[in-house]
Amino acid sequence: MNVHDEMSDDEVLRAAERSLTAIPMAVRPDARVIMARGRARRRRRLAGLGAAGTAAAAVAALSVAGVFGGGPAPVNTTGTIRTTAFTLVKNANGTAKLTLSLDQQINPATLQHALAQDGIPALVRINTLCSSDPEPSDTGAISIQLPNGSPVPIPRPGAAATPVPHDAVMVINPAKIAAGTELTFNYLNDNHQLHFGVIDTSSYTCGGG
Amino acid sequence: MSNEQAEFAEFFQASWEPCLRAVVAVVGSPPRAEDQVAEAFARAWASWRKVSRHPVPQAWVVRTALNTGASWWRRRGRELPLADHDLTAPGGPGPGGLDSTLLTALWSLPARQREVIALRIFLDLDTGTIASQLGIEAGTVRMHLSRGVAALRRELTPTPTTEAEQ
Repeated sequence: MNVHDEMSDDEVLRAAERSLTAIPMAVRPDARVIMARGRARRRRRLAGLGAAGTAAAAVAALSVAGVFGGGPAPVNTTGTIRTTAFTLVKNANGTAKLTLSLDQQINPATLQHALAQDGIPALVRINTLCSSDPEPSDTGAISIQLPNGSPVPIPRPGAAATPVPHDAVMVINPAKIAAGTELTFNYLNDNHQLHFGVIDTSSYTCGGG
Repeated sequence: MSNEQAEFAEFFQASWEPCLRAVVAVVGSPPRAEDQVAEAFARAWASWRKVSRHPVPQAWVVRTALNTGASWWRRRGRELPLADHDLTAPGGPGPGGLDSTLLTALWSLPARQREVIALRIFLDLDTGTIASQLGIEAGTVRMHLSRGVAALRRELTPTPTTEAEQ
């Protein structure tokens, strides 16, 4: 009889369990932190907004070039702020049209500053998801449109990320941003998705991603 | 806190450790496992209405955590490293039952064998449930379990030397 046969399968598994259980682990996180991270994941998600080519091609391009990194200084002409990564055009009716070229590196601070110049309070972050609890109600400040003005359905919160046409633009109406709230744009390099939504200016958390 | 939040919080508190231990059993690195399990629980909450109806929500979390880690590494073109943990020096059973030789053997097993062992040990799933969770046949689960346990047994019990080997 082989000595190995002296230990039953169950005994071997129990020995493995004892060793694994003896490994020191970090303290369990607070459930509220996990829920906040999950809540941010339920935000509306877009993939490929404004990138050149088809949505699939846009995602492929993103895997080569990082997003939300440095980038050249913006060029500010009347009503238009343009960088290689985004273009923000202020319309006569007070709305703003944002086109993101996700195959270029975008500096979140630059985009946030450009939005502020157009009267759009926003928090722009990379690789982190920001949310408020409770989440402010959606007032429809953001819409997605094709160049001809026809609307592109915005994904429901919690739905899978929606690849959008390469020539789609985001139209932002600052008049619809409720007092005490601001927009948030969170880009995740991990899955090349843009999350956006509304947060309470005085009460929000960022994390995860 | 809503009923749904309370339900998730209760699930999270009861499931965090077994899920984390199961993922550590597969990936080897406790810090990485913690990140992946936290992400998996966040995704569970994001899809709680679906996950709460899953036949084995803990298995959903473990599979999601493992898939998260796998995709992370695939995108960077690297192999999933094994045993890059910070444990005690190699040797037999130590304080608290930690046997680094056994753990090294565990993390040297093929990934599928580690998954089967992890689900059996920490989620206490039977062969049929493991098979359905991994999308493989019950016979395949038994084969992975048998081979994995046999490899671990060799590390637990010194191989007897025969006169012919001396």
